[in-house]
Amino acid sequence: MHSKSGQIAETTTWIVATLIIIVILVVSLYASSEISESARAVNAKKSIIFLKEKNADLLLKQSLFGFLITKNADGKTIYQSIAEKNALSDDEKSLAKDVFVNTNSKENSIAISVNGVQSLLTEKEFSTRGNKKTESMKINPGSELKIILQE
Amino acid sequence: MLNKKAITHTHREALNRKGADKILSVYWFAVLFLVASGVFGMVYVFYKYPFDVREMEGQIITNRISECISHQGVLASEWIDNSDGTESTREKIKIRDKCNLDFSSEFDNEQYYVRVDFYDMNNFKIETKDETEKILSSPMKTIFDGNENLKSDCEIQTKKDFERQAKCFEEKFYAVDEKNNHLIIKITSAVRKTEKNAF
Repeated sequence: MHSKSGQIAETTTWIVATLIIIVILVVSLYASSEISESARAVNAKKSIIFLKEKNADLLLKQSLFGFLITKNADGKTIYQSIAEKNALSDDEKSLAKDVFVNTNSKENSIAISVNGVQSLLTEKEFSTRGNKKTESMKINPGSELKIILQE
Repeated sequence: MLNKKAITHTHREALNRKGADKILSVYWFAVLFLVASGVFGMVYVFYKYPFDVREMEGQIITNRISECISHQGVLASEWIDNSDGTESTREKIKIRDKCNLDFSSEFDNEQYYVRVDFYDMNNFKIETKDETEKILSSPMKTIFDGNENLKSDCEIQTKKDFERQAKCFEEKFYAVDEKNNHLIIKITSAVRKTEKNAF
């Protein structure tokens, strides 16, 4: 009688252990399939966690160069204008909006900052979540222009 | 001193344990097989599909072309010299030679297509519909190179990606020309190589 109940207890233990092993294996199989799917398509957006600071946006930098070399109504480049005034005029901000909103997705939040004074160029505001990209340009030792973009 | 009954009981218990051990060893083999198949399954699922690097390749081509046509934000005049901006022109030119790109691959057919559209920013309009952006303005000039058959692959993948089609990559940036005209430049690159990258 004692031996029979001992056997039942032992069998139950092994059945439960087998079920746990099967569950762990199924979860691992599912996880490896999911990871494989995301790792299979190699692109900059999906590889962002691996690229980190190497995730420079070359085309955003190109647009920033283009913006700085654009001449304003006074015939001066925006680069020269910022170097003199350490700020952006309203017309320059409007041009920045045309440049950076047209060259990026409407879903993005974009801001331009001169010496820490930030102006939002899009209706969508920055959120706490989402990857932020920043491209900056030192105008002179006292001033820096930054473009901040959040996808 | 043990009596006969007690000895018989102990003997039976010992025999039972032997039987249980035999069943357990079979069970252990079953568990071993289960775990081994699980590990095999995981490795197989992980490495079954090839890594699809076409989008990254398209992005690299786009970056190289942008560096080639715009130097520090200024567009070289050679790219839009015969366009007066009133009529949209389309021209096949050897972008690969001008930008030092190598379009050769292990396949017989051409596997790349690149197109550069130049837009006047003052007339530039975009419409967003169903999460896809459509440019309403006509480009001042379009230049392209490579396998033109891949162009249609990009057009049908605006909403959904299809594994067996060429992968397309589109980016826009801003530049000024030597006359301070404000331009939006859109670069589209398509990479086929389906057999090596898609499952």
